[in-house]
Amino acid sequence: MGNLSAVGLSGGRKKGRHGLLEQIKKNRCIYLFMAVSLGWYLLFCYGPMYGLLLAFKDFNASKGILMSPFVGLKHYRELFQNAEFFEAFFNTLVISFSRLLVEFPAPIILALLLNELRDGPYKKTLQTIYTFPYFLSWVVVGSIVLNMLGSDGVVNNLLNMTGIGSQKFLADKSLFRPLLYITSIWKSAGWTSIIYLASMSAVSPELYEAATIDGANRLQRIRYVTLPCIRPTIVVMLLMAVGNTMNAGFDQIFNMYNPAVRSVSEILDTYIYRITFQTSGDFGFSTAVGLFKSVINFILLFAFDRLAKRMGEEGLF
Amino acid sequence: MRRTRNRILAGLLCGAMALNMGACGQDDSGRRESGQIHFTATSINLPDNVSFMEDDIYKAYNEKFNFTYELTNITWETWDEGDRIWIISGDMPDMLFWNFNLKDYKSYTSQGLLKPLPEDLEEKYPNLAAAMEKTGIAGYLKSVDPENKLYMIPNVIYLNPPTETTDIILDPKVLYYRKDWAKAVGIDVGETITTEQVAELAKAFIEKDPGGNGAGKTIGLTATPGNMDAVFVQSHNAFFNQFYKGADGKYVWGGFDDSTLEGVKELRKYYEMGVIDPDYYAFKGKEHYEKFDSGIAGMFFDGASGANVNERFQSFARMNKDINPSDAIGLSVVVGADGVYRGEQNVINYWAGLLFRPDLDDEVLECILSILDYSCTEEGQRLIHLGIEGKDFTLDGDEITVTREKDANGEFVSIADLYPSYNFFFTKAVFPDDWSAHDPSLPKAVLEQAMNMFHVKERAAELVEPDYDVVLFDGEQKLKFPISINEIITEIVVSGDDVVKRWEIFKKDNAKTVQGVLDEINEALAK
Repeated sequence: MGNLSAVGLSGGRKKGRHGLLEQIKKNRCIYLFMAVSLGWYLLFCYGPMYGLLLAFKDFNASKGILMSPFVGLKHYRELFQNAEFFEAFFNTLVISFSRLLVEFPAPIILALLLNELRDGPYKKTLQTIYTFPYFLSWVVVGSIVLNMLGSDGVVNNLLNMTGIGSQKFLADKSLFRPLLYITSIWKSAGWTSIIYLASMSAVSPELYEAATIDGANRLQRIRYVTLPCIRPTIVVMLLMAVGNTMNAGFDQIFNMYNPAVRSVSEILDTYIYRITFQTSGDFGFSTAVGLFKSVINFILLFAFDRLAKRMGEEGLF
Repeated sequence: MRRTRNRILAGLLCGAMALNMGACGQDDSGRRESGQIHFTATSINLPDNVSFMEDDIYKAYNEKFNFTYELTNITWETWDEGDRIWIISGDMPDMLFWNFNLKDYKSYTSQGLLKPLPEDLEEKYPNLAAAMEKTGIAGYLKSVDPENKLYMIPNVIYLNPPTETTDIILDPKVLYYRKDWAKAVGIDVGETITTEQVAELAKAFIEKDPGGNGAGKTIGLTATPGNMDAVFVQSHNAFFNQFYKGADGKYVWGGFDDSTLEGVKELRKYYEMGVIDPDYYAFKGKEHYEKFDSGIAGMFFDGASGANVNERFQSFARMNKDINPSDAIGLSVVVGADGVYRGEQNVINYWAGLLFRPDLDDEVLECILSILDYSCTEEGQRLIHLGIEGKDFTLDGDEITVTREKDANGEFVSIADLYPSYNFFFTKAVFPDDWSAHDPSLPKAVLEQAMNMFHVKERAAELVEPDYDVVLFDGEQKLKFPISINEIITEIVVSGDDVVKRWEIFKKDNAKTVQGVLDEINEALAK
């Protein structure tokens, strides 16, 4: 709030338009900086949103988005009769909520563990090791997975040596989703844990000292000091994750998918990609699916934000 | 000092922006001051870091047509989506190498996104027109246009069919197998091989390990999912992935045929037996080539035009320097248990096409069409595939003697390595399959082996003329048909579920969709 006061926004409301103009004039440099980023947002983020009109039009490239004929809810009528769409929608929900359950806690746990280490080369080395996979693209990770779990991969060679015999990991529908979660945790947990570690570093050492004097052991200090102190960060991260529910991980799935697991791996993003660029090329229909996805995301984000506020957290809006 | 520096930086920034904006709006095709025509075009898999306007093939073309070009590379993986975005956004190059599909063609032409070919094409470019005529679809595309215009040059596969007795274009795929391994395991493979014999050979390769890979390391047969279906499912039903006219004159979908299920059962049986590549379902590209060339796999299934076979032999030779590929690799046609060859049906004599941007200058189009017209002549084909007369080959009547330089193995250096512009010309208007059927620079044994496969197929198949009516039928339901039978088959084969039960579920789930298309086709075409 301090920053807003500094540029006169909070005061401006009370003094009316005249006061606001005075404040803008007075802090013109700051407003100028803000105008650049605001302009960027308007131009590149909000401007292109007029393309959403395509969800209600039959796109004709020679007429452009605005002049293409309006077809109302035609694309949505087709969408809700489409079995492939529902399969993709179901898979998206299952994968996303499973990610929240399985993947979301992983960086928190990792950060808690790292936070318990004394600062020094060992901690830094571990942090580097855990962070490194984040910089590998999913294309590379997909190849690693294939080489690890393929019929002649490391894991199957080990299983053969132990007499268990090789397994078809990549063709097993029941393993595909767990494999998504495991590889995602391996790739991203180290990176995301940095946010929690930053939050933990802001916890006052006096609280830990007081807890230690009160006889709290290490686990109790984590439970009663660290976790409550980083709760706002956890809630914000959770809010962002919920708001991203319908984005179930296009890059990852696109690179790890194969026809044998199609029925459990097709998500809305891969479905949109397929119908837009590989099969039908109906941009209006694709936009309709994309808009549906965004609306669901927004509803989830808004609902969870309200819930967080009711529970005493700050929320996003 | 600081002020001066800031001014310089601001000046540089403005300059960079102006250059960028200028580049964005640049449309530089047309006639240059030098009198040369300049155009832009896309081509598949162009090599990096080479000039396409310095070699003698380009110079020979340039001497005749006085042009420069700017080529953009496209890759197979992103070809379709790249082209689609280019066309829809209006940013397509002057000439686009395009993977034809009827739905998009009709959509693009109705929206005015493509330039029509000139109406006097047949008079002005007779060689090009004759080549297009041989594709069998140029006339059809013209007939479906409300103004009777044509917007694409379909690339012809064969100017002259590779077989003397039929004009029907045969599916080029065959089984490549390790001849030396087969000899080592005591199995004699003939010109045709049944699917059961393929499995027996694969089993012998795995168990006896003639390649010395170690226990359990040899792969019997490898192929992409689509080609694995072509071996085992297509040998039961040539129409397993197509709509076709049944005995009663009504159209049906081969995907639902009982014979397709029999093929799926057979594929599953051999997959579970472990005689085919356990990872084939996860292939995204050409992994099977590497497995075969490196001596891990004993067989693969793929295209076998003269050029294909030579390329595979050369690739094998590069990885196995002490083995002569002609001694190590054999070809055989996969047939059903009844000895009948069932290759892919309705193979039309074209592949992909060339499109032109709608606002392309007529003068540029004329120049491009003249180049393509020349490429369709015997002389043009010789220039593209053999190089420069007098230097790379000599011509005495019809007799061609190749004099091109040879590599360390005594093989002719590839034209693409000598002349980078070959990479552009060889896929324009006429495909290399045609030349490779009689290419004098190919080793005679390789060429004979490849051509013999076409003759074997001719003898072992019941040849059926392509059904242009159904292939080019453009009903709304058919154009939207979403089922990929290859993906369904792969899923069933690898899943471990009961094949028959899973098949019934597939049929039940998709019955309505298939029936919708069949009703549409039968209403329009059935007699």
